[in-house]
Amino acid sequence: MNENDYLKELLASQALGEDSDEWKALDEKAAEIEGIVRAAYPGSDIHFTHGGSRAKGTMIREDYDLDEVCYFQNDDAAPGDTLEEIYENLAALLGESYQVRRKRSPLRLIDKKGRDVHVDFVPGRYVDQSSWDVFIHQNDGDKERLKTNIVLHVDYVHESGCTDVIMLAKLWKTRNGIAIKTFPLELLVIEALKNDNTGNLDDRFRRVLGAFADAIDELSIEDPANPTGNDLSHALPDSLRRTLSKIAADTLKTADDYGWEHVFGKLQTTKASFPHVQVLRNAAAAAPVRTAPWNEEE
Amino acid sequence: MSSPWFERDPASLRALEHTLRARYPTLHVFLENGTCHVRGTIAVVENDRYQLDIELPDDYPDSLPLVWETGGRIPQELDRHVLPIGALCLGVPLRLGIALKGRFDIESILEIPVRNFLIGNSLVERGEDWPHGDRAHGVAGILEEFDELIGTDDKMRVSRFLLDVLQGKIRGHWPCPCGSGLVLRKCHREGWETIRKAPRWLLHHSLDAIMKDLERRTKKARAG
Repeated sequence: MNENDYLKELLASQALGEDSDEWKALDEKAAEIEGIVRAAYPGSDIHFTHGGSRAKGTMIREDYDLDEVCYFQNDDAAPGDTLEEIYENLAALLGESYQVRRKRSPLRLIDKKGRDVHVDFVPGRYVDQSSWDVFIHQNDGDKERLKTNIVLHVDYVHESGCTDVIMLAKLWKTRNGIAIKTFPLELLVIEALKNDNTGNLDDRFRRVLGAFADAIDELSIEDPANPTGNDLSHALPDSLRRTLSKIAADTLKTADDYGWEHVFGKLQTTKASFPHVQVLRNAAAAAPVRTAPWNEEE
Repeated sequence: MSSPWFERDPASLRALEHTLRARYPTLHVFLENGTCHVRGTIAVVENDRYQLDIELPDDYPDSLPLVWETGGRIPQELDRHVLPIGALCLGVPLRLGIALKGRFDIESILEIPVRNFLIGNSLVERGEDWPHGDRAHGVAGILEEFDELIGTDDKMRVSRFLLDVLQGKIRGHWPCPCGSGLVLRKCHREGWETIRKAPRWLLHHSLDAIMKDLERRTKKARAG
């Protein structure tokens, strides 16, 4: 298998189809959340839709989520007068069924047993009667509200012609523990391939890593839904740029010296998300030297 | 203040980077504020990956690094063997020094205590016990190690034994500290040899911890 074939097989092994357990679980959660919200606001005309990697076609087994978007009409005061009120009221409502972690704009939902359900809930309100652009609440940053458009976000990524490289870049990010959020990474990949998206997957992924390694400061990202209004600099601070550059350079050198299979490992042989207990027990039994954890503190 | 190891010995830094590329391609070296960190992820088995930040000490590889799990997976609790600073408590330092033969290089650390800890954690997450047991907190855990090595967890006996080892006074015909009545070379000879060969700073670490605990308890008894 050549380098490009390996990368294609790797992506195929990461694919999550509609019949996958993960996909079905997301559908069930989305329906459950929608039911909770509709029941709480029976008089509201609420628009639910999906964003995130599933809508963009960039979902991979090791890094997937669903942005469950919930938009109220511009003149609907039932969920709250201000965006912050809407955000907090929805957080309180969902907090009855889930643990809710407040992120910059979304509410990350964790089940009551502490398991991540891979859903970011994003409440918002349409800017006007056209039901197109929306305002969402922001916890950090200069502005308390953000004007955005999830349809434009999804289309921008989905129609970029880069979704395969984006999926690889997401796997690379996850495997290397890089603390970049998915959307800025997607924008960076598209930007890095903006002038040349030719060649096979290997060529294009190397081009992206090369741009990260050698020219990360020349890559700028902007919100396709509001290019001049939304500042994304918080999503790509200088320290993160340095980290991306360093790991990209390391990865390219490792791939040159040893090949992609060494970087990403053997293709996954199981579709399970977690290892079986017996696999872990066997691994523990095979330890060359046994050590037991301790704690210095009493 | 002396310069950090990677400035004194750039060849060692290159060797570290080479080792990571060759064996752990998703771990990377970062030099920050005079400290060397190794960051990224490792898989302990297929589909089970942990995100780590390993801070190598100034005298790398002669002493223990600090290891943080940075993916938010391990609860920051003493009972999960996480120190208040968030670093993992991989084991009693003396035992780790013995297991790693006094060399805390990145491969040894990752392959033995880190891998054991993380596989153990994955099992604990699934409701299983730590596969190789877990040590009691504090001095009690140190004494458990001595109980395995020389057959006693008595603080006075262990500290006396450690002092004698550090001063190079112990002889094989001395009575075994376990209290069996046999001479040391016919009883816990193996444990004695193991302790004698351990790095001295680890023996001091154990002795200091036991002595401090004795002092604290003595003061408490007097006050009470």
